Amino acid sequence: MKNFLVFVHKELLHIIRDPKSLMIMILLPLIEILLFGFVLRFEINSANIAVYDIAKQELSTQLIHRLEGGKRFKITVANSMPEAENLLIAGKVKAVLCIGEDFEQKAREGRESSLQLLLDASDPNIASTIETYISATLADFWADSIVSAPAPLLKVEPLLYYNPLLKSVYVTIPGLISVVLMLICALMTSISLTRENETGTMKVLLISPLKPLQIIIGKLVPYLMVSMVNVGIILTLAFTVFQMPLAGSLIMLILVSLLYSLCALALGFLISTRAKTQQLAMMISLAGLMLPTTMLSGMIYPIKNMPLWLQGITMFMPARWFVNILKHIMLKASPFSAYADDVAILLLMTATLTLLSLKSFKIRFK
Amino acid sequence: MRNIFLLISKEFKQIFRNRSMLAIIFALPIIQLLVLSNAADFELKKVNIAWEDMDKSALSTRLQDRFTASNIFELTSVSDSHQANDTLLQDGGADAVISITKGFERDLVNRIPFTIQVRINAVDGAAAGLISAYIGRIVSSFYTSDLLKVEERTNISTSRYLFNPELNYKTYMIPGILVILVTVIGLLLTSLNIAREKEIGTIEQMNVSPIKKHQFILGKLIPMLIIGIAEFWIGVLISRSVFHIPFLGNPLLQLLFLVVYLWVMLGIGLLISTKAQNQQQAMFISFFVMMVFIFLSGLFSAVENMPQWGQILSKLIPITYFIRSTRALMLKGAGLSTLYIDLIILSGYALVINLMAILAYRKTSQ
Amino acid sequence: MNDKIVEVNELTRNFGEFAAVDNITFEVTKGEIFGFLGANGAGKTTAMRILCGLLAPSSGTATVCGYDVASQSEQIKLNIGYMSQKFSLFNDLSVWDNISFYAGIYRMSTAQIKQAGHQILQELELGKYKHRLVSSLPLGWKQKLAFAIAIIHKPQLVFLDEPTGGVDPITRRAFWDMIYRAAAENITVFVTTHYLDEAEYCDRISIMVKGKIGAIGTPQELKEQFRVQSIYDVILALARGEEQ
Repeated sequence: MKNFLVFVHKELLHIIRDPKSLMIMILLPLIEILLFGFVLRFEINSANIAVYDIAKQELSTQLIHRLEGGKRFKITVANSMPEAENLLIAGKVKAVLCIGEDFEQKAREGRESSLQLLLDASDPNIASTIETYISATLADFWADSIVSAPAPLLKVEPLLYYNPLLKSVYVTIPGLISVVLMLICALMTSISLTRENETGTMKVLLISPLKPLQIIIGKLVPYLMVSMVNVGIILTLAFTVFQMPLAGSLIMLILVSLLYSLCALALGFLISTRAKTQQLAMMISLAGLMLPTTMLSGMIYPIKNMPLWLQGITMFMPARWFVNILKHIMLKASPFSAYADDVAILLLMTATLTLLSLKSFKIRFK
Repeated sequence: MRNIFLLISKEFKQIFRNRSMLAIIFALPIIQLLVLSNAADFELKKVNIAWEDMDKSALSTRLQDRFTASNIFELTSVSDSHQANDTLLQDGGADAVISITKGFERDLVNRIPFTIQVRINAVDGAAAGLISAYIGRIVSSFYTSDLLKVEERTNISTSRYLFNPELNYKTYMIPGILVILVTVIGLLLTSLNIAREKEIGTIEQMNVSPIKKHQFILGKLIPMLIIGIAEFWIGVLISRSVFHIPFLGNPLLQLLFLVVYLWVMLGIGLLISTKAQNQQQAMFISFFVMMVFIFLSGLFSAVENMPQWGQILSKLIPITYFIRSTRALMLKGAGLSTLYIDLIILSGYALVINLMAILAYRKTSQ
Repeated sequence: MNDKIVEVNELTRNFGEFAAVDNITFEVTKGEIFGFLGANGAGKTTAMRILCGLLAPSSGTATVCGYDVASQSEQIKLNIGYMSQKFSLFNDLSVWDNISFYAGIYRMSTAQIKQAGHQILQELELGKYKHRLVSSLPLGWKQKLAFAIAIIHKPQLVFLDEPTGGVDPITRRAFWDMIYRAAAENITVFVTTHYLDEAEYCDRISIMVKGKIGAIGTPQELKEQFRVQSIYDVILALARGEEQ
């Protein structure tokens, strides 16, 4: 036990005495969370649209004012159809609303409309959102300016659960936490350990009386400590700068983050036992962990939109379960039973990965 | 000239002799293209709703039919229990609960205003906004046609989805994924490759040989340029044959953009390799630069939605211009007349960054 | 005609406050095997890097093959060979790839490359391994191959930076046979080493101590000068002198 502690101490010194790498390990997540937490926005706050008003009547002018007044749209006036289309191709506007000559007349008659909407659907998400909002604005506009009917009797009152102010950070922060922890724990561990294999320092340890399991734990403990510092920083940022709520228990949150870090560490270790060179370890971590964690964890893209085979693959992403747990604890105040399954899956993954890497580690040095 | 040719053929031999490197350069991107393009879909396709009907009248059933008939909504549960529905909301079984209290039919028949309560899981704020808008639309059309018995007014006579009439999200994402793939090649491989020669010491051998510095740099960059170009067009072929993504613009113009962009990335890779002492550092720095590029470029979230400072940062990074021009070229068939500004900016970057890289490279080896 | 291939005059190189090479002056004669000795950090490598044109001197002058190191480094590079302390072949290329790559850099024609390359393979008995990756060769073979490649273009002068580090005694002996053969072909050899038996093989040696030249001459001269039996004792004497 004593030689084990000496060993852990030595490993810790390695990390602390390399300030450049330590800085990277602590600053990188800090900058990433701050930058991306603010920048990643999925709601459409404002869109540039062009209006080509052929009618140029009082009513059409009113309509344009109405669209401008909603603050959702920034209006550019186009004077011809080709001009409007060019704006669309250049990406200056996302939609063109064309108001036909007989706009007012048709509007008074009801029913038919002489409005045409051209949407840049290269981003279908923005296109359909803009269409929905324009059409909602128009419905209000008709009700106010033409029909002059009494206010409708039937109303819908939406109650926004868990995120009443519709903040984007409620989605992005749990995702970013999982990506950054994966980056620190798995990527850095796999590369540092592969480097030790490459330079041969690992062999020296294997000749020593330390047992393989002790070596693994000794190597991982320092990284686990760095990860915990990162968890602390990230959560502090989430609660202070991004004002994430904490609906559930803080202790649970920390325990689960620890579990997820362990899982990522085990993954990093497994990669390091398999990859021969740093370059290879890095590429595996990058392609096998980073992009999938970002794209397949449900952080940015909803999992239920994916084809079934891909949904199957997401099951193997630790981040998928972790993001889910984070949402439960931070936003929903769910009881433990609501996310016990997810925790169990993470536990199972961690155990499997540890066993696999232990096996692979032993075989490699036999 | 002969030296450059020798260096290039050496570089290609090294890459083609190394099977794992080959896999990383060619197989991985293709797999990523195939898998990740399937993952990237924001669109709100299915909204699961729980139906909570206390009124159980003919009228409320008719409203329920309206929801069942729509192809966005799916009634996953019909239950009177407020509590059970809340649990459903919590564990993700339903995205929204539509709650109709007693007196729905009676009030409306007697022309007393009535409010339907909708509880929405708003963790994903953008989706919650749309869900609320969709529900409002169905309720209001139910109100006009079933209660007022008035024919519905058409808001917009025609909506045309330009550039992507089927609103296929892949069409939007794939050009962006292609850009990421060539960025990885250009930036990461270049910086790693040079850092590796530094680490092994072969770079010193080059320095005492009659190879001039510019020859060495060109000998490194040209193979990466060729690989980047090949990778991009393989990706285009796959996106055409597998995903049926159109390619409307002029391929030669696209090639021009690609070459200029790759020079920018190669220059950045070179710059990083002059600052890094070993592969690990080169990788961490490249990695960080890449993360910033990818998240700020507007690949995942539209630039227009970012906070002001994010939009400014986004304008400062070269990848933004390449993603925008690639999308405009492939999907909209834009020509030089609309894209010349992007080309000028990218060329400016290529010039400045390569100049900086060459200066930094000279300095380090003095 | 000048028969000095290296002429160093009051050469100094500073790194900040620290003078890695401190005002040294010496010469190397054409065709000799010149041993460059000294403890780690004595300034050997810095001096050698200046002579190869990799580093600019802070003050003083040096010429190599008649060219000035500060202003004519490109001409120098064409006339010298170099084999570095770190391993200088590409591990992920085959034996033949390495030969033809380096030979090509020194502007040899395809026919010349073929001829010289086959000669190397024959001499080193590597014919069977022509298309093997260099990484699969034992260290001693790699070093011999690296040396053969460093002189493939028949340079006037070859710099060897600890060429036999970590190599077994038998292979070291074979390596020195190669050095003698090269010297017989009128290639001047400038070699750094930590093996004192190797120092005895040199025509002349210089011993650097803290950036200065502590002693220079033939091994015999040095032993007589310090009145000792071996080069080892010469170095010890120098070290003691430094302490006092």
